[in-house]
Amino acid sequence: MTQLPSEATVVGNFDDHVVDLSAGTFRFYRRGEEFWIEVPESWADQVERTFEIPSPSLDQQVVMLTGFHHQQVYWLEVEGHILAAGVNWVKDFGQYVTLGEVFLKPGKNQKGVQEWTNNCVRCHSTPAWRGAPKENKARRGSGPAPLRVMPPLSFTESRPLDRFGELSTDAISIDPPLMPELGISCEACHGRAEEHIELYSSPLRRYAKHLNLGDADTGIINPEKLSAEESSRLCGSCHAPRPAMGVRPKFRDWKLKDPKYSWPDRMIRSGGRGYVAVTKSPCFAGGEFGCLTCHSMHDAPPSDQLSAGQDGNDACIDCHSTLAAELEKHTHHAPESAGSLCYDCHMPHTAFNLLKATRSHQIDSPNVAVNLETGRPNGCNLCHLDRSLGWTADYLSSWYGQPKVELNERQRVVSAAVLGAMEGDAMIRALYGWSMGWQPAQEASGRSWFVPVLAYLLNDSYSAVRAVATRSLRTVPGWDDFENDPWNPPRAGKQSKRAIRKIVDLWERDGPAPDRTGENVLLRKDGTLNWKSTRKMLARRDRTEVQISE
Amino acid sequence: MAAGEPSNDQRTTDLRAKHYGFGWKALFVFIALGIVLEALHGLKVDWYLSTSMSTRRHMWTLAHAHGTLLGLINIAFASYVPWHIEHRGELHPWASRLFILATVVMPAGFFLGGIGFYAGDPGLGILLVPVGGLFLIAGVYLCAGFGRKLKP
Repeated sequence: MTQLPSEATVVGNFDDHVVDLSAGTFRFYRRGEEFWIEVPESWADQVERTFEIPSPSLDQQVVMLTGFHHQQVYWLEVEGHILAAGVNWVKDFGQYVTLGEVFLKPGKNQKGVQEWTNNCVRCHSTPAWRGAPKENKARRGSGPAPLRVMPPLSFTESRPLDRFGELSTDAISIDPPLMPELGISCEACHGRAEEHIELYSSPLRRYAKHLNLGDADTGIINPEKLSAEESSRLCGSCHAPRPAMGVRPKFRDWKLKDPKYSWPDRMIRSGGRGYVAVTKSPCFAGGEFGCLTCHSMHDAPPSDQLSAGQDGNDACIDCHSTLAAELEKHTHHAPESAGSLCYDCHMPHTAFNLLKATRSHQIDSPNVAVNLETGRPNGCNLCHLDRSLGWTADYLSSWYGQPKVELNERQRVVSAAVLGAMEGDAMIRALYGWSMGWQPAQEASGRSWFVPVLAYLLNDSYSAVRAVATRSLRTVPGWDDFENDPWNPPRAGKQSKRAIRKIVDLWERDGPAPDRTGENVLLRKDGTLNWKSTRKMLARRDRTEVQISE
Repeated sequence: MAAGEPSNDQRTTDLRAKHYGFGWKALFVFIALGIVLEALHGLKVDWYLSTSMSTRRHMWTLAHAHGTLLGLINIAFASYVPWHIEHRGELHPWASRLFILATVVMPAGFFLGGIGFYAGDPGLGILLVPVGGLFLIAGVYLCAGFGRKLKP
């Protein structure tokens, strides 16, 4: 959501608030109705170097915002360039964070200063302006960036969507305020409206339409009247990995080998890129299933935009009607439990963005063999956190006839969540860390035994993993007021070990008896942590660098 | 003047009585409508106040406003009649009919246009509004004395 700053739209703290971040010291303050940021010299230096703007002021007015429900980014105007302030307000933590540190990626600091027109404008405004990358790289000198405007979708094969192709391709200059519409507004999905407005300025034509007389061509796109495939492509103009976005109607599958976007089997793992995932789902092949099957732009809450009734099994049972009567037989779980919610098995939380795990939009079934090949957790173990891959494999084989898989001793015995959280790469650690705070998982597998595991994640080298772990720990009874700043410089070495031990000691001393014990969850029979096992696991951690592109 | 016909004075009195009566009755009806619309606001009635009902609110407000105004025009006409007869001569018989028709047709068009409507467009009842408008302007034209000189 991109908006102009006001009392109603700014969620960050601007009450003369000073904060020291890895990017420098920022002060957020008001001048009457205006919102201002005093930026660090390092930011100004970067702007000077990148855009050749001599000595930009350290006091900058916020001219635009992006984000509202989860996070918020602040844009400043410097000599016609709209630049990110380099900070992000993270709403549920109630704090400012250096912009780059809200993503699942190693290290601190976003490199360089983000310019609005270089990247963000293509999806966070209307229409989805898109320029040739060469022209939109950081420009020298002052003045607004010219953009070559291209249609968000280029359709030569589908007539109803040709209207997107009518956008002007002349380079335009942008004067602030920047674009025809901030945020995702009508034309982002309905296409350019000039023809529609012209047609319906005639009352005769309007009333002919009201009375269902005359020409059905409305001069504008109604996504609900398109096929599932076409309407989903509209969504895909933004909700796809960049290589698959926009201009090409069919995405280039080979680009999806990029681990910034997908698992090794090309299933999307960057949240918010659901279009590609949906198109790879078996449901999509039937031609009736698409984004609008579950989501509504106008009749749904703004946060997830799920249509009424689509937060349950109704979305699936429309087509899979025989399963409605045999739900328990199919799922082998109580009908009202999370295990009988289609989404939890077939769209588990194996994607990540906005500091949380999000549901994969590629409808799939749990499969331990795929687990082993890709590293991706399956829906069963993301809920049954105390169970091993071997346990899952046995049930999948017994219930659904899946072939047996070869597992080593540890995979057969030790909790998959523990293995993932201790030994997995940052993406897997983040997913399991998030699941430990997920209520259905806590109901299925207990709520306190994994505190020591979270203690390790709180000291992870990735800030996003630390953030996820902090949030999850606060869901454990007795830990709801746990104080931790995930973005403080990460502790390392002895400092880290002391911090972990402090949490574990507190948990062992003051917490209730853990609701699970055993070597499969790293605990001795007396409920204390087996430190030796955890050290061995840490030594086996996959330290491959992970970066998820959001 | 033929025997048995009402005198000019009687016709004038009758015409005035007719329009005074009609005008006050119209005022009563359309002010009452206005009170009802205010009550719908006060009671936050959804089928009047929800965002999708803005066309209805607009049309019914216009019905109230035009009906009230037309009631006043009838009362003004009743007051005007003797002056016109004294200074300009006989009024065209259609002047009276046109004002009454306008007072019925124009607000009815707005009201009907707000009962069933199409998003931003009023219902087909709105077609009565220009008709009522024509009645009104024709009646005003007949009163305005275009091309008629004052009596000496």
